[in-house]
Amino acid sequence: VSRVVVGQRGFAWVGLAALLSLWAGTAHSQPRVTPLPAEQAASLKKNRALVQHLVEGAVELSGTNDVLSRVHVCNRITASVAKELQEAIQAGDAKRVQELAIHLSGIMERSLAPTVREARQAIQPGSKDEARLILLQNVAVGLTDNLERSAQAYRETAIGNDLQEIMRRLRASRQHVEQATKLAER
Amino acid sequence: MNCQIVQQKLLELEDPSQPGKRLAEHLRSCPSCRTVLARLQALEAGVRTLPVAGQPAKAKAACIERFLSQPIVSPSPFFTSQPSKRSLSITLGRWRWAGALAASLLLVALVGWGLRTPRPKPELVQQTVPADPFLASVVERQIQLSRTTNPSERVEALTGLANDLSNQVQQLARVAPGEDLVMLARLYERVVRVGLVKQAVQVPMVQRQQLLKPVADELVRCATRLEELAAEVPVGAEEPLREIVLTAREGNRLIQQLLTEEHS
Repeated sequence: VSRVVVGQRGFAWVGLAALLSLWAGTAHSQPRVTPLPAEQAASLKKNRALVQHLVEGAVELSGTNDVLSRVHVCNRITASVAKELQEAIQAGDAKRVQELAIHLSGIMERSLAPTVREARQAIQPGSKDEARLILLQNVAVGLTDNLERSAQAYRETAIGNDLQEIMRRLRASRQHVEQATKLAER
Repeated sequence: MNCQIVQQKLLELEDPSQPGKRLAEHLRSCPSCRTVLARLQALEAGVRTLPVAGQPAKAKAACIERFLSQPIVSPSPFFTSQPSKRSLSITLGRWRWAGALAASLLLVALVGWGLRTPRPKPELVQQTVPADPFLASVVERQIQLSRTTNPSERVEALTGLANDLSNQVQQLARVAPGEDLVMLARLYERVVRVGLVKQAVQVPMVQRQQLLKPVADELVRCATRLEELAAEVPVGAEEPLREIVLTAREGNRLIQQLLTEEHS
C-alpha cells in the first residue's frame, strides 16, 4: 500500500513540477495584450487631451459633409497628435514616442491624405477654398518639419536611433498628404 | 562563583583530588560543596577497585555475533552499509522518481523553449500591440469617420466609439479618478446625442430596422451593465456612470422612436 501511495505522490509531484515548468517557460514568452486596469488608468491620464480631441473630432467629422471642414478637422487632430509626440520626444519617453508616431503616421496616411484628396477633387481650381486647402496642407507639412527639427535635436539621446526610424516613416506619411494635393492638381 | 557552578566544575574534573586554586578557595568556605567533592572522591576511589572481566577478545566476538544475528527493525537505505534487497529496491525507486522528475522538467523546459515565439525587434514599424488599446481604438474610429459620409457607416462607427467609451468606463470605474470618468461620460454623451442619434435620423427607412435595432439593443445593454456597476464603485465614480446610463437610455428612446416611425 505504501509503495502505491509513494507512486501516486511521485506522479503528483512530477505533474505539478511539469506544469510549473511549462508556466515558467511560456509565461514571459508572449507579450500581454490587455493592460491591467491601473495601467489603463495611467494611460488615460496621459492621453486625456488627445482622447478628447480625437472623440470630438470624430463626432464633428460625422456631422459634416463639407470637404474643407473635414480637412480642417483632420488637420486639427493631426496637429494635436504631433504636439503630444513632440512633448514625448522632449521628455525622452521612447515607448510613448513610438506609440504616438504610429498613430500620427496612420492619421496622416489614412485620414488626412484621403480627406485632402477628396477636397482637392471637389474644390474649384483658383477658388478661395483652394487657397484654404493649400494653407491647411502646408500646416500639416509644417508639423512634420517641426518634428524633424526635434528629432535632429534629440539625435544624440537614448531615443536617437528610434527617432531616425520614426522620421523616415513620418516623411513617407507627409508624402501621402503632399501627393493628395498634387494628384488633383493635374 | 556560586555553588551550582562550582559543583558543575567538580563533576567535570578528571581527578577530584586536585580541584584547582579557584575551586579550592570556594570549597574552603562552603561545607555543601565540600560534601559533593568528598562524594566524588569516594566514587573515583570505588571505580578503581572494580574488577575487570577476563578474556576480553572472546567477549567482544560474542557481542558482535549477537548483534549481527538480531533482525533489522527499521532498515534505512542511507545508513546500512550492506542494504537488503528490499531497501535497495526502495533506494533505486526513489532515485528513479528523482530521475523521472529531472527528465520531465528538462523535457517540459525544452518544449516551452520551443514554443516561445521570438520577440519582435523594438522597431516602430514592427510594433503591433499598442501601448494603450483604448487610444488605438479611438484613433481607428476617427479614421473610419473621416473616410465616410454615408449615414449607415457613420452610425456603425459611432456605435463602436460609444462602446469603446463605455467599456473603458466599465474597466476603469474602480481605479480611475472621478474627473477622468466624468470626461469619458461627457464624451459618451457627445457621441450618442450629437453623433449617433443625428446620424440615425439620416439612415434610410429601409435600413433602419436592420441597422438601428442592434444599436438600440446595445444602448440598453450598456445602461444595464453600468447601472449595476454604479452600485459597486467607489464614491465619485458613481455619478459619471449614472450619466452614461441616462445617455444610453435616452439614446435608446430616440432610436426606438425612429424605428416606430418606420413602422407607422
